Amino acid sequence: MINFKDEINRFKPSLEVGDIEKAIEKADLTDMSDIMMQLVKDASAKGGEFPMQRTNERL
Amino acid sequence: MKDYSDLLIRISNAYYNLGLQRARLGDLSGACDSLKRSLHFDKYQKDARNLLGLIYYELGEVSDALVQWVISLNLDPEDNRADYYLDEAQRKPGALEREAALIRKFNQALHQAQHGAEDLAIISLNQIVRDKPNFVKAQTLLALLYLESGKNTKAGAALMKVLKIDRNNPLALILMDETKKRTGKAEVEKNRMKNAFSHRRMEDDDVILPKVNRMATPGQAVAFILFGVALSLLCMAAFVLPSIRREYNIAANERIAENSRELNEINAKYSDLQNDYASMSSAYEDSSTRLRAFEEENAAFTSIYRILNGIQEELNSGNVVAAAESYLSIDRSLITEEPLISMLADTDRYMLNEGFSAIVSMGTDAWNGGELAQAEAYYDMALSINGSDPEAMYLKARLLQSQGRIQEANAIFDVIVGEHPESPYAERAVTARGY
Repeated sequence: MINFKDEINRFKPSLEVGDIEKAIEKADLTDMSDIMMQLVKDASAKGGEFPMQRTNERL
Repeated sequence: MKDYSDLLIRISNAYYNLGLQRARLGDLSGACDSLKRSLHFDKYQKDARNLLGLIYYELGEVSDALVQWVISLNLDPEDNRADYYLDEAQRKPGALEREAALIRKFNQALHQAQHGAEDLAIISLNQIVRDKPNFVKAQTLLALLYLESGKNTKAGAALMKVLKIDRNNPLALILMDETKKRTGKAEVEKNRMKNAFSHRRMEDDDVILPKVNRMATPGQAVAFILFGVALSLLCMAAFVLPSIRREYNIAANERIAENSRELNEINAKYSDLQNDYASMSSAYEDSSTRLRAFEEENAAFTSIYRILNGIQEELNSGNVVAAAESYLSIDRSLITEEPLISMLADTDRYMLNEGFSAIVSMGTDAWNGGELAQAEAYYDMALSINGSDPEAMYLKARLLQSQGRIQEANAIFDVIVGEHPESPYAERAVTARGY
């Protein structure tokens, strides 16, 4: 049985055209590479060094 | 580290390929999910981001699409398709403003739906989906509100539109199930599915016989075709032709009846015309007869009148002989009307007196001039006018006697003596005869 109220409340408003700029600024572009780099950074900060190099090269 | 980078890129590419495949199959929700994962592993996956923008655009989320394209262009400005997409989205003047207005309206409708004004929300959403049918979120919300208010058919129609765009939209699928349950279509489909698949469990010694495809020989094919044609002709003769014939007969009978009616009318008219003709003919005959009679009467009258008038003119011009000839040609039986009777009476008076005397004198003059035949003719003319004049009779008899026609002369002398004994010519007749 569908709970219509809940379903209606689950709907989120659409992004308005005027808010595109804000949305781009706030966009979280963290990907796995960033996370891994952060992990390695944290690990090296705790003990050990890794030469960290980020690459944008594509296979 | 490079290995990990390569690995992440590969994983990202794999998710991108999956997203692309799902997008091609129409599963936009699934494609979105895969593409987001792809970007999770590699935010520089340009194609994934651009495709994600396209999917957002297709779902009616224009702002989200523009965000993705702008980010894509910023992360990788060179040779990026996102540049073209951004230009296309803003190419038509006012397009972006219209999209902005629709999104604003949707957000208002959503606010109304979430705060008890479902009717107003439905009205707004109807306007939105009319202007932008591919706005999936608006269609889904509208379907939800219709279902809540019991308008199952309208909800079903909205959901069909959503599933046409995004075939695996989760909420749309759930709501469609609910709609089918409410309208009874779920049962129908269930039965169809039951009949489509067999539930019998196979045993070990079950043998699956391969289906044998028997192809018909050319002769058989021709025979089948001929049989089909014959059967269709038979069916046509049995079912179609009778009704066609009946209709034709009805139409033909109606035409015959119509023609008969017309014929009767024409016959009646003809009969009337014939009667009219007969009566007119008889009237014509009658008129012709009267006309002829009238003309004849008039002709006789005119003729007599001319004669009498001519006699008068001849007498006036001194031509007594011609007048006498005309006088003697009159048919007295035709003179029945005035003024002819009066005219004749006047002519009689003159001819019996002056005219008679003049002709007798002319006869005597002709006798004296030796013209015996002419004299006889004059005497005959005079006697025609007045056959009982003893003088004229005596003169004629004497003329005949002088020509040696004794018997003729004696006959006239006898008449004078017998019929006019008191006349002085009776004694002369006796003497001339030699009694």
